[in-house]
Amino acid sequence: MEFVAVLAIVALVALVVIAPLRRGRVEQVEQRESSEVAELEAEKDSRYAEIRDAEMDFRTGKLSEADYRQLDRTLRGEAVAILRQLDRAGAGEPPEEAAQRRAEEYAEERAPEPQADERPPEHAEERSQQRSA
Amino acid sequence: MATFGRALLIVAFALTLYGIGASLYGAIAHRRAWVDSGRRAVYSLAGVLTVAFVVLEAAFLRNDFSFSVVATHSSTTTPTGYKMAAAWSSQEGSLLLWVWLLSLWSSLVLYLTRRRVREIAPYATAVLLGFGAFFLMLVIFFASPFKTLANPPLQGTGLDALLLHPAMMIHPPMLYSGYTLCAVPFAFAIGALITRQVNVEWVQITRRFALGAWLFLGIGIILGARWSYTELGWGGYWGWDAVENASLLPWLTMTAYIHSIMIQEKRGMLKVWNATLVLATGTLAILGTFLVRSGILDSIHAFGASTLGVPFLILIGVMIVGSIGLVVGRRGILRSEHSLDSFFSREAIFIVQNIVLVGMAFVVFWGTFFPLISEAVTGTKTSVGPPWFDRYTVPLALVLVVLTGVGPLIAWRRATLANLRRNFVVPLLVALVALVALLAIGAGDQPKALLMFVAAAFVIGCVGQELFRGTRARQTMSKEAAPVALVSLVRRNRRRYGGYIAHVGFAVLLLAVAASSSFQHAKDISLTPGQSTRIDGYTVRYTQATAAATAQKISLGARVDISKAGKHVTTLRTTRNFYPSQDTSLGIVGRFFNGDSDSVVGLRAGVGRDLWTVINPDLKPLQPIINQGDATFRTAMTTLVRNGGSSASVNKLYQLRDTAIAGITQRFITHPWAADFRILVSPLASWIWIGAIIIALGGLIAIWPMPHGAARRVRAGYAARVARDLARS
Amino acid sequence: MDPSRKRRIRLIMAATAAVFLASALIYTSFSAGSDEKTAGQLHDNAIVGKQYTLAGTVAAHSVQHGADGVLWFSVVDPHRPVSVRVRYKGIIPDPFREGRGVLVKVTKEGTTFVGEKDSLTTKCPSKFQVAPPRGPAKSGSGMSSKQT
Repeated sequence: MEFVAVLAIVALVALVVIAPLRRGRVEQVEQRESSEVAELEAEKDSRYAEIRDAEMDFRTGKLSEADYRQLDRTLRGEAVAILRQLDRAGAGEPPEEAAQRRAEEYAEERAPEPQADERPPEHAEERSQQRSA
Repeated sequence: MATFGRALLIVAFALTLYGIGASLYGAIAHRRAWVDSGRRAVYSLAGVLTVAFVVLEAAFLRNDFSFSVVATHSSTTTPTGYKMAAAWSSQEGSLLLWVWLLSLWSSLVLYLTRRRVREIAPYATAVLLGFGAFFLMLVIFFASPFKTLANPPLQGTGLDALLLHPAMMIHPPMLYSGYTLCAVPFAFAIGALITRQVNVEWVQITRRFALGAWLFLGIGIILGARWSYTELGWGGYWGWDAVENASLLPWLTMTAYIHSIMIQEKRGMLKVWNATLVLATGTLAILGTFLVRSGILDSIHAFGASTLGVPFLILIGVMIVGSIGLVVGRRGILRSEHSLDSFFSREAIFIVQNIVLVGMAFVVFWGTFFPLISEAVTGTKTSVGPPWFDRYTVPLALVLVVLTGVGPLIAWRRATLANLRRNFVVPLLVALVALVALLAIGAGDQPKALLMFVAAAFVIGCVGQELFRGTRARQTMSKEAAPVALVSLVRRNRRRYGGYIAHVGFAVLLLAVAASSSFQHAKDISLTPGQSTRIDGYTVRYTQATAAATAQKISLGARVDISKAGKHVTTLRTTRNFYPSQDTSLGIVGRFFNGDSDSVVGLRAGVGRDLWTVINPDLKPLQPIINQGDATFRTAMTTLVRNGGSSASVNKLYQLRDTAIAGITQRFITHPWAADFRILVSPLASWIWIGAIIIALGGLIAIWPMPHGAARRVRAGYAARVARDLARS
Repeated sequence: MDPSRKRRIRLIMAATAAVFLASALIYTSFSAGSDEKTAGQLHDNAIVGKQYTLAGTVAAHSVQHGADGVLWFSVVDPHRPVSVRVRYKGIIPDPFREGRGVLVKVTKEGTTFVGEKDSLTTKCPSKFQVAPPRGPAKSGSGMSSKQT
């Protein structure tokens, strides 16, 4: 009796554990989401949380208006940088284009104010919808 | 059934080994199927261990004394609830509980992260299963809960009387949940370090589990303290005992960790520190289990008395060496992305808080292990007592309380002096008012307690102001009524306000500890019925002796009337229970009086103060009668046996004995003699438990996930704004 | 000042503070700690007037309640059949019993040892052996141990 019960449990456990191997579905659709993207997503979320925190700090009187404006700008700048990285990592950009873009960005960062941006606004609007969806 | 249980443990052990292999192979060879299979091994482990645990519990409930643990930890007269709890009052059962809880929590975290942290998860799975394999090895080879007795006794020895307390039913599972949950962030940290994915994601994923570990450990610690206060007849709740300290250590480092990860999330700083903290916490959790299990610090048994010592030491050694190796090996990628903007920032406060907490943990660690350290250095075992601990922990706790108030008032990244002034006026005023009021009522002669009161008032001022301002800000945005605004404020910022609420609870708890220890009145006195004594303005009268004898225990007690200025305040009942001993050498009658005993505390918990009393009746006046009874019954019994008396006449003799015992017990009422009492008046002691409940509530708020839709809505606004920036920039 | 230098100074300051705290801790623990002795050690070479922490097992049939709440008991050495007699007054922990492990702070006076008031502690009940000492070894539960 006990022996049968143990056998049944062993069989059940083996079925459960072996199932993914039998199915042989090694690659799944979500696999495409690389760990880099996941990490960037996490960073993006924490940046949003920080923007929110700063706003909270401002509203509860812990930051002066000027400080808040500046901090908010910095944080949003950081978030934008992450979004850019995300776009690149997620879109599966060809390496040569990515390299080109990185070089442009490098130059841009070091260019005297005001920064130039060639991106057409429609493009951004579309992205905004994606992000908020 | 025992064979079935043993077989289940072996299946479980095989599963852990398979799971480790599958996960590691899957991770290294990038074979998702194997990783999935490894994760399923964890789920299956949880299933198999659940069955094994049910088998053990069933043995306790069925009074199956063929199980060795049941025979030695339970009896037919043990109440059902305690029969279930008896399962983990044994070494073997508690190890099984440990690994079972580990498998449940591991399954939960791996299920929740099944589509995330793809690279880290398999290593974390392997680490979690590694712990599982270790504990399964212990229950299979060293301390099997399914060991059977060749000749099962008809009756078990029963659960130790002192463990018959409601806290006993939930305290060990809570503590063990805390310990096992500590393994979760530990495992993911190892995975993150191995795969070099050390930024934010693993921290975010394990945050709730770290908080959960912190919460469960805290609840476990407080339940232990409560048990001590109400069950052990000394009136204290904390004694810096090695086993208490063992649970406090990971709690302290986990508290540091759940704060400092915020800096990593926001600024990419302190990665080495956080990794070290969480690895240390995991190691301390195992060390805590080890201390409880091994008896290494009992100081009474030499090391090695327990067979579990060596395997545990090996595990701890591997954990320490592995952790240090990993952190050192990965120091390059653990470098900070930013540096501290300003010393006037919340980050800086967090860092100070972390240093204080780790300092405190170090003090506790040093004091706990000092007997071993001193023996290693000087050859003599030397121990330090509560005064030594207090000397360091009291000032550190004071700093900590102040920081719980300062932290929430300072903005992230930077704070300006003008803002500081604006924010600190109200709390400082509250603290000042408290100081003046306390000095007015004459609390000035206890400077440490006074400081703690003022600090706590400051914290309550700080958090009160925060909640007020937050509510007001919310009101201007949403035009809600104040209470509604307050609730939605907390609901929409759970982590922030949950944390603040926990801060208030912490301040309240430490305030209560300071009050009840510094202003406690205690009296040890011997009273006969009718006599009274005075303590802290109260008149305490021993009005009546009480006595009862049942098959399970003999209770001698007292009704104590407490009045103040002629007005009745309350009536307390306290008893001491004597449990029969199985040791027949104590005499046929004597064994009922000389076995285990425990106290039932007479407690009136109040908002202002606790009135606490316990009786310790002296049995000496009964001893001559007991001895006489022993002799009489021994003679009667031998005569009866020699003359081949029927079982009916033996039973008659037992009935007579029971009548005699009831009669002897009644003498406590009919011929009362003096009994020793301990009477305590502890101001604000109830607030220790209230503070703890507030902390737990805050923790729960912080842990409770926001509904998915709400979280997305909150984020969407910011996302849209950032996206507009992206367009504009 | 360049950041790396600033950082180094900060680090050195923090390290110095830590070293100070640690030395205070170490110093006081050695000076304030009391030596844990077995009954045999105290029996052989206890100095009159010096305080020790006595660790051992309460001897069978040795507990006596004297007048005025005084408790008499003997503590046995775990390794050899030597015991010392202790006179104690103060809180008696619930778990205190013959055959159980105790810790008590004592000072030698004449041939007996006088316990410090309220210094008697027992092992956590979860550590009790339910069966007689020679029975199957078992101890422990998750109960956190308590003084007294």
